[in-house]
Amino acid sequence: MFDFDRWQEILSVLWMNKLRTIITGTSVAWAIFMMVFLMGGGNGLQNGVEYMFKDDAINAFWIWPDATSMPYQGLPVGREIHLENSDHDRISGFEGIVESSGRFNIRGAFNIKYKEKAQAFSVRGVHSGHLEIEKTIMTHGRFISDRDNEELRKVAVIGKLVSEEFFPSPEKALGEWIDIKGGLYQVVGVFEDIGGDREMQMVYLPIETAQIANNGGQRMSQLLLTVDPEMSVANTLLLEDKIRADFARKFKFDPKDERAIGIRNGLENWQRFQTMFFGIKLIIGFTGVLTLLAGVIAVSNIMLITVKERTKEIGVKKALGAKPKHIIGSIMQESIFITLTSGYLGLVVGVALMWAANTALAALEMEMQFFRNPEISWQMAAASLVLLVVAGALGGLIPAWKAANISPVEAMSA
Amino acid sequence: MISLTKINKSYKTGQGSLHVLKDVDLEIGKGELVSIMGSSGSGKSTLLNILGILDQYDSGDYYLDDKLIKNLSDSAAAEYRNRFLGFVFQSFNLLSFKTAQENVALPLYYQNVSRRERNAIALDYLEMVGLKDWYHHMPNQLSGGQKQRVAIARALISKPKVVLADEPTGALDSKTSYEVMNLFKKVNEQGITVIIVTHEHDISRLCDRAIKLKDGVIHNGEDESAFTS
Repeated sequence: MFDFDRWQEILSVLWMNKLRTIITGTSVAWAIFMMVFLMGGGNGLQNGVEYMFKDDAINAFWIWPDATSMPYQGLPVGREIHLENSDHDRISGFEGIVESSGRFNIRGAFNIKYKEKAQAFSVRGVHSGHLEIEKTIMTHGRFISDRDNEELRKVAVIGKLVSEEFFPSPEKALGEWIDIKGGLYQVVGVFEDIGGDREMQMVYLPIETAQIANNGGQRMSQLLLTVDPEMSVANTLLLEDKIRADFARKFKFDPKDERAIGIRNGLENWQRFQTMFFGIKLIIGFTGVLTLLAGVIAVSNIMLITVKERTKEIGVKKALGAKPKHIIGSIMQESIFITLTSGYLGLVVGVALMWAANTALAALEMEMQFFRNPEISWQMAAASLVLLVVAGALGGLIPAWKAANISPVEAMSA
Repeated sequence: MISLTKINKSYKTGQGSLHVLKDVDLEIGKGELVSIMGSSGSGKSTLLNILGILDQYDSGDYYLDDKLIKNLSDSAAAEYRNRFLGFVFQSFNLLSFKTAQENVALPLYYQNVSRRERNAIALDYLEMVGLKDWYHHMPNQLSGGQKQRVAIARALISKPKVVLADEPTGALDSKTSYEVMNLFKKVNEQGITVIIVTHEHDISRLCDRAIKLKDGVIHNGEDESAFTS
């Protein structure tokens, strides 16, 4: 492949037309830079949103009671619906449901006390399944168990920030007793959560213990479920309908009334975001390819000028025995060389900028919820290089064809 | 070596067509040194283009070294030009980004001779034209006469059977012109057929024979004054 004469010719021609070469190269470099920048940014956005999804299980259902919005069997609009422990026990038996947990939020402003320290934190009662659904990360001890609920144990699992408030270390927290609204609960675990500080300022109790201690009766604030991760989005929608129909029968509301019971289908949301990002990437890809096309046209245009300027020289070469393949090969090689070199430069600058943005985001510890790790994969980089070669070849096509059709008679023109 | 029978060539023009060569018959033997003379518009350039396989003709037959040159593909024509013909142009047509040596070696590049080998051969040919010491010079560092000698070396490197020269002295002063003509004579003495297109009588006189062209027809044995203008 290394042909000294051909490279000598290409480089000397490019060198003789430095400004033209630079301007042409810039258009391709800019195209690739834009493409890298947009794709990296798109990935950053997607990474950010996916990271947010990581806070909770993707295949989760969030169910909360509200009030009816349609009259049903003579019953008025605006009737409040309340979830109870029995709903959890019944729904959790549905086919396709893996984990389930009720949630009972203890309302009101109160301080949690340990020795002479006191601080306000959120407290909620949960079932054991809550661990998986909320993606709570246990760093010390254990989470709430089924036995805790059955035996109405007075135990608590505390967030990392709660632990830091009261105890010198998480290890020291285990086995200690904290005071919540006058009741004493033994700390059995400390957790972390990627959902942010708010989620780590939480205290979990066994749901039934919490209900009893706070006059909650059998009431649940929310019901959380996870479904079989293999379940299709369509099937989760069917399950959603099935759950709503079940509640409608029990609480006597119209099955079409979506206000009475709110259901958030995580998988559907996930799917929606995935579709959205697919769309965004499609637009980015489209923009990138069009920008690159503009670059290709610039290269093609300049190559046409080159061919025109060198008509006589090409004629001379043909007179001396250059075959069409020699002429075409030389023009194509020049076109690919300009495109690939300048495109590679654009790629390097784009990746460098991406790297700088990443470093800056990390250094500033900026908590940007929607933007995270803008990046471009090596596969994408490799693919864009292949794309550049193709683009260069495409740009060289018409000029090469023109050059091949130059008559050797041109050599004779004085 | 060269045999043309009833060669016709027309060019399409705005109104109709221009009949440039009319039933041209021509024989040039091996080892001849001939000139083709004619005023502008006489068809001598067209004749040279056809002899050089640079252009096609409409009818007739052209045999070069007993091979019929007709309806060749671009690649085949390039191959014939490369193997059988050497070209010398009025404006030298050296490639500006190549040294004298590389310019001379160029025809061998199209024969896929290795760079080292063809550069070595090129040096021998530069020596023959008296420019061995100038091998690494670029064309713009050479005088007109030197450029034309480099071009002649380039025309000879592929050991052609015929050298075609299109007004080779047109851009040179008379002293240099004679030097170049002496070189052509030297080439001719090696048995290579040399055809020189010129409109200069003193150049033509140095050749064995003059082929005179007027209005697309060869006129031999007529008064030379008919071709001066």
